[in-house]
Amino acid sequence: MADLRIDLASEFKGKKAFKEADGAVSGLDRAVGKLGKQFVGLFAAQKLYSFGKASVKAFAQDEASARRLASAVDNLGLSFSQTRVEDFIQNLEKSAGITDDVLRPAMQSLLTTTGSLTKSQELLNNAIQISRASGIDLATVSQDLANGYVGITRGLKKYNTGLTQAELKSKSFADILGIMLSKSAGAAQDYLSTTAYQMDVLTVATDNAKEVIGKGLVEAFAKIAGGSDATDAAKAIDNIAQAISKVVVFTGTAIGLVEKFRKAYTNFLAGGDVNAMLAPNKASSNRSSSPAGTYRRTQQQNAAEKAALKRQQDLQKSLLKTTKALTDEQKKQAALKKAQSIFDLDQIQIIAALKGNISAEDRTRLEAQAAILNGNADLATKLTKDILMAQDSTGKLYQYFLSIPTAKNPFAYLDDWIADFQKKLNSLTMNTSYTQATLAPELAAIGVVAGYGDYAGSVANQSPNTLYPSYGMQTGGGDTVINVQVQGSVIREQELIDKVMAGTQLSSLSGSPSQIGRIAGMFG
Amino acid sequence: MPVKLQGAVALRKALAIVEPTLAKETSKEIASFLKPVVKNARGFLPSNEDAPSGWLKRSNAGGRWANRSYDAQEARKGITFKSTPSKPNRRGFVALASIFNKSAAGAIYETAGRKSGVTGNFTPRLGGQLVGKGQKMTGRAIFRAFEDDRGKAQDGVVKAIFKAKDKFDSMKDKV
Repeated sequence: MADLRIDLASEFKGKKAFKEADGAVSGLDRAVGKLGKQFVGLFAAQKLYSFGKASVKAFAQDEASARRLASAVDNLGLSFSQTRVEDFIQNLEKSAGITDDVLRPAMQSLLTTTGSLTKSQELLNNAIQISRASGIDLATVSQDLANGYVGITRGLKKYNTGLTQAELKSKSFADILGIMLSKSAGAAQDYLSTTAYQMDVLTVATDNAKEVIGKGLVEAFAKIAGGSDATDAAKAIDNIAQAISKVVVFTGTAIGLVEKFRKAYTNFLAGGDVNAMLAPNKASSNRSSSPAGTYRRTQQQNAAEKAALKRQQDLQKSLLKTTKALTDEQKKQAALKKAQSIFDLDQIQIIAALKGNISAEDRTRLEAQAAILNGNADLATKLTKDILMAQDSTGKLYQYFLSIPTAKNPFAYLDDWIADFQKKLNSLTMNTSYTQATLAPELAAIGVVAGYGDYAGSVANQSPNTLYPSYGMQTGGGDTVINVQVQGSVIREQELIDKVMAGTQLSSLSGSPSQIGRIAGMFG
Repeated sequence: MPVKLQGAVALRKALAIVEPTLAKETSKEIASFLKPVVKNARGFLPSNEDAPSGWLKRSNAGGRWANRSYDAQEARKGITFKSTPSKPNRRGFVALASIFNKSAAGAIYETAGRKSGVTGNFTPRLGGQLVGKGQKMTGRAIFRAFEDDRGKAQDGVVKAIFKAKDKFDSMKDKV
């Protein structure tokens, strides 16, 4: 069976080393003293390549996310505020202990949605507070807030605001955000005193260091490879890594040689001091030194915020306009319905009658009818009461009217009758057995043959039928033969079928009233 | 591949004799890096319900498969670690820290299909995922967990030994 084990660290002791273990303690000082250098050499040789790769990767990712955010800021017409956005991200990274890789996408989603730099900064701070309180990651929170800002509040349900789905829909985003912030108040401050925050700060520092080293490595290695971009750098890193591994394998004292080799190799290829080249160039701040530049940036920012505000106002106006148009349309529909009621014949008759010279009682009756037709229940009840009270001032008639039950079904008795009839039908019994009767002697004397349905004998004894000729049909013996005579000559069965079909078709196309009626389905 | 150190076994022997407390601390620290890998590896083993039904323990089992049947509890118990130096292997290497998959069934689950591929009637029914670098370092449980760990345990073990060495050196200087 395979030896299933993973050895994480091992030491070569030789085959007989276990016998010499006791004696090895005497040489401990030297062994322990060398351990550090040997370990650093071997360990560093193994890790240098992977660390370099990780650093370059971290730098590439950081650069890509920064570019994405820069493009988003540019597209919003805030190109002069690039530096401010970057500064804000960097400050937030330090103060909140969140890496810029997380902050940038969050800021981008908020910026794209709101179109305002100040609003986005405010919402990002709010998102961090809510994220700390709820434990939900910042990217999700910022996306939910961005959605909420434009009225999609469905995603805010998971923050346990205590609001129902209907309330989430009806309340404004500002109200909901206020509730969320009040529930998460102090969470961000509390988090700053936790060990997790200290770890976050450490992670941020490590990541940043990695990015800076990665940037330096890309530039330096690109120059070493004689190019300027990341592809050249990757080639150089691979070459150097291979060289390092060879040195490690064959010499065993890796680090000193590697260092020497790397320095000599890189200095030779780069044509200068690599350390100087590795020093990161100071990035352009893109910040104008003149007051005019600041003015232009502020102007641009104000213009962008105004545009965003205007967009929102336009949206609200458009919504209001649509609602107003809908209300107007509903009013028109109601007016039209009212106008249509003028042409109701029953109402016309009642109105015509009301115009005539009629008694007060008749007038009340007509008004009551009109009220019933228009569905005015209160008025109809009142007028009915007036009529009944006019006929009997004691009020007994009105009381009697109120006590009359709902009109019954006049055909209800039919149901009972049908049920009774069905019952009687079911009780009827029929004798299903059959007993053959014996043939009477007088019938047998005249030649009637016994047997149910035996007709052959009687037909054979009949005289030829001269009164009703067969018109082409001949009968004889037990079999009946029918000959169909078709005009013209028919040779085969198929021809006969064709003829019949043709005749039927002609008949249907003849235009006779009966055919038309059949086709039109008048008989069915 | 394990990291090769020199003098580490001697250091630990010396620690055990001169500074037993520090030796214990070192062992504990190494164990703290190995435990998560072991825990993760145990998690990759299938439950009895998920294992192929014909492979489970049967009362009337006999022959060569009698002691190779799968029992999740037994297989989990078989995945262990060791934070003290081992005996030298045939090539003369002493392991300073190791992770094991000792049970027969666990070993079958670990390695089935890593040479001939996931084919036939048995191996595809095992589920799991063969993960690792090279045939010898590929498996479904401990090798997969070790691969998922991305060298954290290995770095931790080396650092712990290095830390013990520093402490030992400083103690020595004081004396």
